[in-house]
Amino acid sequence: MTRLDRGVVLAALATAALAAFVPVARAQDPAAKPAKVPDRVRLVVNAAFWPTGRTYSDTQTFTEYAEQTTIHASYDAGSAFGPDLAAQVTLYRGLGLLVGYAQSNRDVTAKVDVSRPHPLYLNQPRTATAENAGYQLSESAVYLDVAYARPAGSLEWAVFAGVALFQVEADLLGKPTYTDEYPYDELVIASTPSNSVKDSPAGFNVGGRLDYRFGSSKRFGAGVQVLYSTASVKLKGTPESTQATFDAGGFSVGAGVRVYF
Amino acid sequence: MFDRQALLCLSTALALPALAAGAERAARVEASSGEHLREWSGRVDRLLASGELAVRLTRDDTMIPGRRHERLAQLHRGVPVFGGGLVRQSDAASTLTVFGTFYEGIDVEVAPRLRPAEVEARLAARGGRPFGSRGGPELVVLPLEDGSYRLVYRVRAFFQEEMDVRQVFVDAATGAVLREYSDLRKQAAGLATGVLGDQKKISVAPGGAGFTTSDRLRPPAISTYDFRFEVNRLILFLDADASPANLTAADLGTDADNVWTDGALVDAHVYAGYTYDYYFKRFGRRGLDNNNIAIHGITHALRREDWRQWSPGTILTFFANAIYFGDGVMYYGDGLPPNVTLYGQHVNYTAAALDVVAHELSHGVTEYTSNLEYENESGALDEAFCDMMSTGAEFYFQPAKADYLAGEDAFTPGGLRSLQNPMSYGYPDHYSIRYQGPDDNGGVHINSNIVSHAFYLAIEGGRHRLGATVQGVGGANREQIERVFYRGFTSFLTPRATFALARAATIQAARDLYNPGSAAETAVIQAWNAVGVH
Repeated sequence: MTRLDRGVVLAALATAALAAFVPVARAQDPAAKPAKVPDRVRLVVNAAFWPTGRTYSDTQTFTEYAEQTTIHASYDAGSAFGPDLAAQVTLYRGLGLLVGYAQSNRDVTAKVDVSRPHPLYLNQPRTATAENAGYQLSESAVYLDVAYARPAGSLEWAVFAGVALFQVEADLLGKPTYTDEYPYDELVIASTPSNSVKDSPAGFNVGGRLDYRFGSSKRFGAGVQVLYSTASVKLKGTPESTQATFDAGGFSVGAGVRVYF
Repeated sequence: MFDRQALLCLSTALALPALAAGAERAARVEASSGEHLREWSGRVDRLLASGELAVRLTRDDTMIPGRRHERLAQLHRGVPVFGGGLVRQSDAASTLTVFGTFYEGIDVEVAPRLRPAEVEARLAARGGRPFGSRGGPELVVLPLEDGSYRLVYRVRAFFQEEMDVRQVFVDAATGAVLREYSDLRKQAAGLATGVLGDQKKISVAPGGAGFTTSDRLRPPAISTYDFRFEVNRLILFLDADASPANLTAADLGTDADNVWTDGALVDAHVYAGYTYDYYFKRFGRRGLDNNNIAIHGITHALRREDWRQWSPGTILTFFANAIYFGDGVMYYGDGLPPNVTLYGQHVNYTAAALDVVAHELSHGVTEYTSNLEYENESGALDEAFCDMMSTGAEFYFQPAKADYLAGEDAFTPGGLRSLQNPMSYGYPDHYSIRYQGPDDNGGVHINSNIVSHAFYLAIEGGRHRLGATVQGVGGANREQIERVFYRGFTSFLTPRATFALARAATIQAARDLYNPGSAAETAVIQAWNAVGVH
């Protein structure tokens, strides 16, 4: 099973569980009035914040000067802000479909540790360390969810879950350059150029919203959202690199405006 | 003209051993302080102005920033005086030291009766011919031991029958040979067993179908050649004056997969690089001439299994020996088969020993610095310098197995000499028992042990066999003594230097580098005292 297949299956399972839960919930509330049918379409525009960072690493190994060079890079990506957009369509008694899109950018600091053989002497590797704060990590995701929304006066809550299709683009360390001259006893890293690499993993997402609708028409509103999404990312900076692996997405909180029609 | 008598009086008045005279009318100059230094500083300027000294080389000091060393050759009416010259050390403000040898009372005419071609013809009649870039004939004034001087042609000649390169001094008036000695700087002979099998990295160059022993990582070109046991190739090379220009890329060692298994070729190439590195890292020196002159090594000229086909002289020179030909060219003999012994020793590939390779290359350092004359005490200083520097290189790169034996990895058992205990090899460890006969160019290898034993004592300390005690700097501080002897020998000695001048030069070097009264200076003084050199 490919990673995309696994993500789709997970999302489908989550969606099925949610779909099964919603009728049961309604059935267990005999006192509830018939729900006012909400407007058919909701447009959700959030400013989202991903508070948790992520760390990942890769290692290049290759032969140089008849011995093995090892270049280990540790990447530290901080929290992120970004837009989170969605359109939710109700198809039957609050149950419907949601299509969303979220995008985040992170500044990444790469710490590079190099062990490079001495060109003239056996078993006398030189080491050097460098840090580069100019790397980037961007993640965008499309959510295809089953959603359920229920009003409570001017308030409305909604839950949703489904498939998350990610597009991740990260700067990973390419081949460093060195200041390396006779007698070659000291190694100085001159530059740490990056290679921008991509991966498109699939995963799942699950989340909820609490919105407040304004005015008599109730066509506009504001609300907050929590979302958890995830997919396993595997990136390779150079042919000699190990894979840098981490989970895209994560927990996010957002707030924004709503439009109903 | 320089007033020798005045100098002698000055020296006596100052109670300094600043000037000494032998049978030759040579003034040994050791001016490093006080009035004597001021006197010599002024004299050097006057001698330069009068043309009796000429600046041959000026170098910045690689060990003490801001200092400069000038090598000044002595001239008589424009003709070089063989062995005469001074070294002046100065900083931006003044002259700091003057060392060297200056000959006085020269009254020879400088118009030769013989032409150079006639000298070459006389040599050819003996089977010799000028050899190498310094082959000559060169017109020089030769100081003789009776204190007189003679106008001569100096020729560095190759004699094929003897397989020897000799300095020959031919009277420019009569054609008589006034003096002659072997000029091949070489290790003494011994015997060895197989390749050591140690793993090391080799700096090579890709080319052709594989790789060649051409080091492009170090600043100078270091090339090691494989003559592939073609005797004619060696003869052709010698016929071309052992000139590096006669070595071609086709002679380089080769390997298809860059996994080198030819131990002799590998060791010659790698250890030449180590030696360059040692001089650079210890002393800041850039190669033999301090200007990254190319280094060439020759291996596999004669097949060791063919040793029976050759004369004893050839075996001793080209099988069980390594040679510095000059101009950065080294030759490494392939030794003798394991079942053969020479003087009770086995002779392995001579390049298998780091100290042998470093020894030969150190002759090159001498060639471009003090240019010590290769006989008597100056020749012994040359050999001692090579043993001391090669021991330093061994401790630097092979600390786990380093010792004070010379050539022990190629000549087994025991190597050729011991800096720690010269007497165990039958060599003198004190000036009072120095060899004074004609063999070994006046004992260049034999008497070198007196000097190198002082080097050992200055490092390790201890009690000399005859009782004197030396407070050495200790093995952990060996770098101090290595730097002192390097500086003393390369910066302050001149071609006809004596042991006494070497003592003065190294004491001055210790003061320069570590200040008067330092542990290094004390060790050096005590060490020279212990071996009887004053």
